[in-house]
Amino acid sequence: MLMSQNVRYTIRSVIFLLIGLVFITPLLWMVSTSLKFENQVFERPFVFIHWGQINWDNYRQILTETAFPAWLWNSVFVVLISVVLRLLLSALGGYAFGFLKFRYSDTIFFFFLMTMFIPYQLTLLPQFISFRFIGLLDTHWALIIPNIVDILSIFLMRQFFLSFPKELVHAAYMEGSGIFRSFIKVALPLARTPLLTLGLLSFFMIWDQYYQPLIFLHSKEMYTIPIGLQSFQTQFGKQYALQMALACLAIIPVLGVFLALQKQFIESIVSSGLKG
Amino acid sequence: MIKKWGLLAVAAMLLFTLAACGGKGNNSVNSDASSQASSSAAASGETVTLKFLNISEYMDSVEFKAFLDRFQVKYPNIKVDPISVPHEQYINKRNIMLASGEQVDLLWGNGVEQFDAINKGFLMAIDEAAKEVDVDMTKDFGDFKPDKDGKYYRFPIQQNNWMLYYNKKVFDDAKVPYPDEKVPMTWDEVAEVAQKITNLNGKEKVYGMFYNNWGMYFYGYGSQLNNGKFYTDDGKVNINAPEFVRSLEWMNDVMNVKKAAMPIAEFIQNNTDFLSYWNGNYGMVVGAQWYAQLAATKKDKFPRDWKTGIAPMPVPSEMAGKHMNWSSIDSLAVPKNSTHAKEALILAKEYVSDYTLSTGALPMYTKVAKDNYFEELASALKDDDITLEQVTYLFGGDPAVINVEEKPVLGAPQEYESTFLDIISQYYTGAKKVDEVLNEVKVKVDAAIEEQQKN
Amino acid sequence: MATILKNMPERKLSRAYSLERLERRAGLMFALPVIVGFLLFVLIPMICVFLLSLYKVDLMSNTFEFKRFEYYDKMLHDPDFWKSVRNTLYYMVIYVPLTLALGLGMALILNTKMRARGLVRTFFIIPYITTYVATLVVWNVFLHPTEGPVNSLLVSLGIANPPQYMVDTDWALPMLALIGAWKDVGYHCILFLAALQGVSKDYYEASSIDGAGRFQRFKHITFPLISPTSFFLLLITIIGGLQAFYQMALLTKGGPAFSTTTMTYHIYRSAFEYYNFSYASAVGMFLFLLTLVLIAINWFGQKKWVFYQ
Repeated sequence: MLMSQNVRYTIRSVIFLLIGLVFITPLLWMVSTSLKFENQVFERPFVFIHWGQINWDNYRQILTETAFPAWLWNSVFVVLISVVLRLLLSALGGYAFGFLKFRYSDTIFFFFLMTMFIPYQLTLLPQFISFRFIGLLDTHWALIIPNIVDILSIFLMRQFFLSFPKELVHAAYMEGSGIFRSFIKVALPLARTPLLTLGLLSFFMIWDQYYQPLIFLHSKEMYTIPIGLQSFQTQFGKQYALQMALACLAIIPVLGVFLALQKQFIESIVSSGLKG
Repeated sequence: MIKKWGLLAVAAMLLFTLAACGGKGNNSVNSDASSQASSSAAASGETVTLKFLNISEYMDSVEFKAFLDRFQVKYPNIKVDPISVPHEQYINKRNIMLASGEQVDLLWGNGVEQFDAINKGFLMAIDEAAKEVDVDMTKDFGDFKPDKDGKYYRFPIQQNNWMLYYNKKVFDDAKVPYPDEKVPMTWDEVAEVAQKITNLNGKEKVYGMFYNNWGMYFYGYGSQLNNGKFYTDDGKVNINAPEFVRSLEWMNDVMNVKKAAMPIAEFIQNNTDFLSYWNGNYGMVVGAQWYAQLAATKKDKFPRDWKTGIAPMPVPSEMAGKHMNWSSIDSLAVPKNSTHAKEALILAKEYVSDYTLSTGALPMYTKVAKDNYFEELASALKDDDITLEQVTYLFGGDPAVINVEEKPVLGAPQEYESTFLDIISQYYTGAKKVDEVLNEVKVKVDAAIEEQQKN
Repeated sequence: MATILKNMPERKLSRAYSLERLERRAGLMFALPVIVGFLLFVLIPMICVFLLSLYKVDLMSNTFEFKRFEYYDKMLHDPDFWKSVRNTLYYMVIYVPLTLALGLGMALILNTKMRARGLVRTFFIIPYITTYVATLVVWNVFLHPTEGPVNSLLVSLGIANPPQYMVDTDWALPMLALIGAWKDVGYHCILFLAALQGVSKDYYEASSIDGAGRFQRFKHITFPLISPTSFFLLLITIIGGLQAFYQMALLTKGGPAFSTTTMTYHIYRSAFEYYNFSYASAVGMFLFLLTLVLIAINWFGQKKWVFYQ
């Protein structure tokens, strides 16, 4: 009885693991292909990895012969600054709309929410015009600025601060802290978990952005990874192994960040009000 | 509740006012900027900066940098700010730059793109400015006619010279004789030969014919038949004419019946690049001078262990023996909001006189010394056993060549080309009949033409 | 706040009143950066878009011509527009239920007792966090019509003419919806999982005494308890579905034969390829309204099935 339950448990786990593997087959195939030679890409029968003749040269070629390192640096720069600024503004805004409140704050916020539904392709032209006037075209700031104010992030931080215990803040007031100081000393540290989650989600989202760089940048030196990847795809047509190696390299940074922070990320979603 | 909505309305009005102010502010800034720019241009001797929009294929080269350096020495007062965009994204980029009011002074375009710009009212007529820089538009480009309403908008760079490129190794392997050097094959012969030299059973598939997913590879045969009649006499789409039907059916025969060209599904999903031909797995391709310059003479970039041959462009059997060409003119043009038209044309003139030859094209500008062009090209193709005589005959030195329009350029050209390509794939995958797809194209593009005429 | 005030002595009460005023003032200061940013980067561009849909604008010569609702009129009479609406709804019909169902299913898997749960969870989330362009590059080759792994497998299983995916008008849009669901489902999975883990065991114990079956238990206990999360995800998915864009832009360019031109892609192409910014703005305003309507329907419909504790 005990034995059979154990077996069932194991079988179930194996099945679920297989489902998980099937789910990421395209990505496994990507890794496998990135380590092959061009003529092995569509070989039959399929071999996952040719141990002994792994072709690292695809990676070498991309790291040394393309602008990948520059794209990576650009992406990291744009994403980090965007995320930090977005978190700062979202925390301030969330605290203001959710905790402090002010005259008409709910009405204004309702107005904010309505605009969440506008398709962003449309605002590209007005944004382009304004960036032209301030002279930000072809700079990374044109990619950063539209990301700073994100209604969904403010919404989520507001949700968090709506149920924030007043007693804690009032205790800080009693100790003589001003409103700003108590925000820094009491509210922010406690908001660490939702901020971390939000930061990660924003990181993934901004890392993905493709149309802003396409429209706002002229120079190839300024490219971020997604657009660099796309330009590479058209340039190298049928060189699939190379393309897959580049796709792998594009994914590694986000995957690394995710794996490093996965535990906190999932725990914080479970524990925080970020599920809406 | 009522109070809440009232507040909302007030807030909305407030924001609208704010926005309107913002808008006005923008406008005044804009007019300031442009008046400043025009005054600085008017004052002679001051430095002007030209924004030059062109495709990266032409701008990201060592030769272009060298040309710019020479230009800067010659005209120290004209600074050039080159904006290079890959051809695939070129139209989008051009449109957003012009739509936002960004000042571009000179822009590159092929026939479709420039006529699209003319139809949409982006460009200025350059007749006057051309005189100022000592160019006679009516004479200096040979037989070049005004673009619209008796005015010139385009400063021509080059005309495409189309021919047949073939891979001698593929022909040898199939034991098929090479195409004749002087007498063009008919399209029917091309189809037969393509089938003979196709070999799909080898280690690498070898297709007898390579094509690009560009309009002329499907309708170009028809254009030869009816002298480029892409529009009816009243300016509507003529793509459903029998000549074009025959043209598309020919391609279907090669691709799906004789299986001598890559199926379109595979072609599209491969992101097949036009330079893919040079990987050696194709027997023949119809291509223009850019193939020679970008690939055939650049063996370091496109290494190959086979020899290429060139032959005249294939023709319909009705035109057997005639030397034909799909004519399309790449050109430079000046957007209507540029305040430096004269300087822009100085740059254009230098571009065609000093740079175009090094891109491997023969400038249409007649005042350029181009005697060396054929010789240099011939010597670069010497390894392929191609003679000077052949090069001269095929790369623009044959005065008797019959030109027909390469693409539709009159009404809604941009919409014409992309709608055509989007819809006809259904014919080649077997989902629809040829008449169905062509009529569909006609209905859609007619609507676009009508729309543009209204504005 | 009220309870605090009640328990406070009078002297402190007046202080609390002034404190509230201070907080309100500070609140405005705190919100100021967000409000300014919102005005500059969200609202003003949005109003510009609205104005753009009423005017014929030529910024090259700075001319503005008032056209009333001409572009809306054109839009309503444009078969391409209606086709894009149809495509968008078709996309949604596949994408929304699929993403929600898969997300819930995966969360249910992760919520059972099993070995290597962390690993499976990571597998489920990976597509969500990976770079979209990179995954599309992979899918493009993966679904290659003749040589790709999927079709090679189908051929070896004896299917003579496997689908051609991106170049087949019947297959392209469903495939794009499938790829979209595959990409986004990780997010749904985590949120559902969080909700499931928040369901107290007591409820199940009570029901197992009643002898309820597994499905009954899910229907009557689990689902109502996670319904607020489901509702939030439903809204997110609807917005995501309406604004789906990457797959069309990078894999099919709206083709073949317009079959994957959704509203967002129609907007993009009209504006940037064909230079009809005013028309595109009109379509954009329509999409905006459509989104609001769909959200509103669900908002009022939630009473029927969303259960707030």
